[in-house]
Amino acid sequence: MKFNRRNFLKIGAAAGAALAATGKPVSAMELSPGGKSVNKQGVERKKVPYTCMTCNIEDGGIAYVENDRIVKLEGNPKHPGNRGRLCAKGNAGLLHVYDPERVLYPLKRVGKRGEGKWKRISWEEGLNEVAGKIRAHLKSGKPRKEIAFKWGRNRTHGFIDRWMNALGSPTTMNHTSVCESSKKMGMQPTWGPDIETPDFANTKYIINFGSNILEAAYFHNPYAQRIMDGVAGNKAKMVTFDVRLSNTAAKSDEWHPVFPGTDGVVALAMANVIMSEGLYDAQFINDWVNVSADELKAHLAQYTPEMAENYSGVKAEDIVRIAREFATAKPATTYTYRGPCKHLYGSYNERSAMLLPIITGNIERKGGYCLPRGMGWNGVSPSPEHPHEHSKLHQPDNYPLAGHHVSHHIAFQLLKGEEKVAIWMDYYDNPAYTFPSSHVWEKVYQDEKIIPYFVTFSPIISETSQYADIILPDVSYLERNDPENMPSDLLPWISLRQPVIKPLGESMEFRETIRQLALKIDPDGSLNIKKYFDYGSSENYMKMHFDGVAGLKELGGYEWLKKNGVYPDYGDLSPADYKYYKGGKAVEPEYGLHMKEDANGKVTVGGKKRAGFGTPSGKIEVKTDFYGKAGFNPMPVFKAHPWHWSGGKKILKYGQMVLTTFKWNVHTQARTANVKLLTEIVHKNPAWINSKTAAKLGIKDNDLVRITSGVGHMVTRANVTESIHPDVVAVSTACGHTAGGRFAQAMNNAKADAWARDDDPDLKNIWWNDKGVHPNAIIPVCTDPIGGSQGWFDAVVTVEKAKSGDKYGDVVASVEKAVAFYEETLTYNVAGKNHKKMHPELANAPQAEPVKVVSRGDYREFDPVQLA
Amino acid sequence: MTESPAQPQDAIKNLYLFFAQLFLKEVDAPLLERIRSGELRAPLEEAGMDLKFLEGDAQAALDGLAVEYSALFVQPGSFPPFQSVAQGGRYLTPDADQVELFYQKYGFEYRKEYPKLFPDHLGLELWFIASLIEAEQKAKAANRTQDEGVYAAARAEFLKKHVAAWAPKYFETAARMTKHPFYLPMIEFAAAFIDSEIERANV
Ligand code: SF4
Repeated sequence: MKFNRRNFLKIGAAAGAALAATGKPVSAMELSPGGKSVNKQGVERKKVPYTCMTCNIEDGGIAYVENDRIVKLEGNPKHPGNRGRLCAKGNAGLLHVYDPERVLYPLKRVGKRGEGKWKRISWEEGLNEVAGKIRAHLKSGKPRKEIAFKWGRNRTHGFIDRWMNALGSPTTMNHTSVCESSKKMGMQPTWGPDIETPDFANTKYIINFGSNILEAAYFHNPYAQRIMDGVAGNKAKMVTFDVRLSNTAAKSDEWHPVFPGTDGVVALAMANVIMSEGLYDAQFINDWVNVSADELKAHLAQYTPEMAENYSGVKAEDIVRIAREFATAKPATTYTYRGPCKHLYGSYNERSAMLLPIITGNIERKGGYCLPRGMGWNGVSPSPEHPHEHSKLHQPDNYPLAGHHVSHHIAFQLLKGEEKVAIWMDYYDNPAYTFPSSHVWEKVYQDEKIIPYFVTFSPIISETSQYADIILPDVSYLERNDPENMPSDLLPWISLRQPVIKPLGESMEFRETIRQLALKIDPDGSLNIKKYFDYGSSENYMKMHFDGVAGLKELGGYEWLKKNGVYPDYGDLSPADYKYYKGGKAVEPEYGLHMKEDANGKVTVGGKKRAGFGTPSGKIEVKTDFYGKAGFNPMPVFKAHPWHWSGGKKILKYGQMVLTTFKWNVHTQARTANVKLLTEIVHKNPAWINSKTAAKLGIKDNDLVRITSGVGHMVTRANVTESIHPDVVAVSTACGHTAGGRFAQAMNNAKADAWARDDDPDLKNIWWNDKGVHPNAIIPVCTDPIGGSQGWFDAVVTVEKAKSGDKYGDVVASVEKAVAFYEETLTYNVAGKNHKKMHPELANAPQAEPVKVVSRGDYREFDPVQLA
Repeated sequence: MTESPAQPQDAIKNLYLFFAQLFLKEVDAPLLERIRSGELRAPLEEAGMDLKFLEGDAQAALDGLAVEYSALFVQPGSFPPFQSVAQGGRYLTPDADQVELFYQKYGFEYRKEYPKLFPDHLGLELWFIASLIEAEQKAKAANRTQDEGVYAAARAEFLKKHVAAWAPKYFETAARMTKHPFYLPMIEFAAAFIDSEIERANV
């Protein structure tokens, strides 16, 4: 083209005429009334409290804001969970807000699904389109359950249920089965709540089964502080059982590398030692456990330390020693996370680990294993009823105890046509990256026959949202409202997540988007939807939650919470001991909640009725009818994985190992990948292989290796190390992204052809070319038939030196093979052919009653009683 | 920066406005018609632009333009045309405040038209310069010589402090990102125009 002044003037003249003719304002900006001259100097810096949500710990923060721009995030010292400290992810949180790869406008797909072609549309157009589709479906008389909603992280506390219940669809799908659902389903029938709050700060002994609590598990930021208080301040001993020398294991007094999935048998053997040597707390068992000490002794006798050594590799003498130490340390606590529970029969493992604090009477004691404390808020009225229709996507057949559902089966169920979907909504979710056999999800999302219409509320274009038909972009966690509560400390709290700035660009808070959709779907209220969304604004909705909370109300309710972020105010945090002080006295938690007098209590101890535990008997139910009636062993037992063991013998062949994954302290599964400060710290994930194993296989450090599962293979590099069990290969999550942004994909300037932008000065600082390799596609589905969890740490793989033609980063996975694993895992459910084979001890037990599957809403509503 | 009386300030102003429109939003139906069959076609073709691809179904042409607009300026993976992004790699660095302060200092306000847009969008910066030209023209017409000088000086200062600081490099990168028959020449055209303006203003 020719560019010269003559052209400029000609085109400029024509442009003037064109702009005038098209009605574009020739007078560009408006002159403010009076031609106001403003000179802002010395900008005010505001402090706005919020609740972090980079991960799910829900710590309290303070945002420092200038000119509606966040300049710094800090921990909120008034928050009893994190006591003024944020982790690295929390500190880097503002980069989520200002990421130029964030979606700031509604986008509509143009071209094929996943092709990456979008056009910007107005909110009006976007909302009309989605509302129109939903309204048409509702009016069509087709089953309402064809309207589906899948979430990955839901901190709305019931809002998604409100939405789906109002639409009359039971097809709400969560993510908990890829998280710790079998831990929850081990705990809930045993003592009521689905989680524990160990009093690490005051303990003398910690047994940690399979949690990397200093880095990544629930509630790592608060608990890392308390563990350090306990270990450094209280001289507590910490013993970690983990397949990998995590940073937690490394900071423990002892690390015992266990064979995957055998923590449970180690715990059972320890319990056996404690019972048989008379080291148990007879009084506690007598008062509070629903089986007697003798019954326990008889049951546990089968789990000898030698048997546990055979499976776990932990020496019998160590098992005996640690059992004795634990039982006599007083107070002592255990802690578990995904290590024991993310296996076939992981729920049994969790129940086995729980035995240790129970039989030693360390429950609800200072320094012991305590019930979670919580505080609530008011519900928002009116509230729609849960629909009566049943969706197998919400709750599949033959998983009667999987109260937190079996979300990782959904893609397979859809492929098999178990349920039909008309409209699919996706929120804070990325199964095409985070789920096992993630390629199957990709296939499902691509198929317009399976998912005819796909709406996402995602603020990023991820491995999943790239397949959406329309994006109605949500805000970041620093621009939204939620009520919050987590048992991250023994001092209970509620907190507020509030927008610390206005939503950026045209992004809209999900709660507001749904409100507007609802009002468009049902403008006159005739569909009975409008009334549930007539609350005005998200802020009003929060007001309804908080204004009536006793205690808070007197202080000023929601307005007080907006200023302070967290309730109650426990006083001033002392930098000397990190305790709260009020009137010169340290604020101490309350212990012995089960012992509180309660006229309605089911258990009488010391002649008085006590509050007890949230079980049918009010006692700790080491023997649980919930399991028994559903066809499982009512006692804590160990089941060796048939992929790993046969007749007590390990059956791994030459080159075979168990693949495990793990998380880093600077990353969540997927959402932090484009946060440059974090990705600079961790961006690649070589496979950890034990040095002796590697030597046998001729693999050297940094060699290219091929890891092959029954689903497919991946090619990565070897990290040859002493820090891993010899039968295990470990590959971290959070790396190997194929979407999500430049930092997520290590797109530096050297790759300018593929990614021409060079705007961010930090792109020059991408000194790495390696973005890692994501293992999830090759991980087969393997489901705990009790709690419904994915057995993330069960896959048997062959590790070998890379073959000719293999390239770093190759991931090849077969949908057919993944489906075959799904079919296999169904054979372990209560109706499957392997169920009885795995439970020979129940051959003479009464036939399990047919279990009624109850369609439930939010997982918090889970009440095992419904299953009775 | 003072235009000599012979220089057609209107055309320069309108060119700023034209580019502001092109970067601020997708081409709409009325503008498409002006480009493909209205008064803009001849001078654009004379400058060497091939506009045949825009002929035929208007909606298809508009969709094609909208997809490329999104790929270049809107969606993740594009290069959003903001000074903060171009210079700091993220939205709303303090540069954005500086730009808005500049607008406010001269009494200009853009939020009525674009309430949710950050102030340092390329389109707004160009729009602001056009506004300063217009203010200068009005001052001149009203014989407010001092004001005329103030607006002219403001234009030069804004061009130097802001537009010149990032737009030329932005155009260079954006041009590498597209082969689109409309947006590539338009980006090159805008680059040449802004270069000439910078040169002319001697900033
Ligand atoms: S642990 Fe870190 S990321 Fe998670 S809530 Fe706390 S500060 Fe935020």
